[in-house]
Amino acid sequence: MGDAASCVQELLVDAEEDVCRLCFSAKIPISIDNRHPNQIDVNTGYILLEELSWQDFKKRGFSLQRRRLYSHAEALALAAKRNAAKAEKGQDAAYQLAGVLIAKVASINAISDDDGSQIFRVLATPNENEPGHSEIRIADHLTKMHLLKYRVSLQSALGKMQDAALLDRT
Amino acid sequence: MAELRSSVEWAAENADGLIRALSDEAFLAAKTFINSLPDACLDFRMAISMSGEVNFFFGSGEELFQILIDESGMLSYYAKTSEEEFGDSDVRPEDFIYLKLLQFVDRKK
Repeated sequence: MGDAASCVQELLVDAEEDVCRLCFSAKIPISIDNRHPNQIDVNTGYILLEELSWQDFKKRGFSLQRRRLYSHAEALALAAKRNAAKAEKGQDAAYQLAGVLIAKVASINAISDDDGSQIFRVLATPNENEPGHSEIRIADHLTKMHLLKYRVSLQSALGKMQDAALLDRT
Repeated sequence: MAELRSSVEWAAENADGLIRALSDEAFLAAKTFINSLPDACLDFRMAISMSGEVNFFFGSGEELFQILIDESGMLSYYAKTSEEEFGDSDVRPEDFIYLKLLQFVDRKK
């Protein structure tokens, strides 16, 4: 984000909303350590700590979808699109939607330091094709050791991977 | 070390919008870190994130020592036990105090 972007006022997602993180799997390696489903610890169902990365929380934004503005069909379409991209490279990936992590924004906002100040914030970052796109960012004054400390709480707040069909149920 | 090398090669071959290849700095820093580990500290889980950061985990659950090496090759760490917590951000892997890790690993002996 450049200076111009930092002048734009951030729009927070309401604490009562649910946000979702899509989880994918494939029959070929799609993450560096070759785990399936991608980014999820198969033993616990939680997202792997290493995938709660500094790059995502500080620089790119950790992508989510707002549940009320997203659908199971859109998630399936995204998986199909990625599968097609692999096929174009000649890879038979069988890339598919494995499930979703679903969290109430309030539970992410509730993660705080000893003084009670909030560690993460959930921003609405809609784009042309994804009105529900949103992202989690870490508070500006915090450093990498803080991410390491608080990502353990965030891992819990995001919960275990669930059935993606839940995207359509309220 | 072989695992690190093969992960790095795989990431470089498969880098796309979703996977970032590991930077040379991160790879070198991870190598320095591994080579500097005391013999008693070789039981760890190494994990490279899709965003190209190298993570090392010692211990588990409530007693965890986390190391993060970012794309610039700097090392950050955070450790928590039932007795204490400590950490720091952006130290050079050469300057990391490996004794802290040794003390963590040895804490129950």
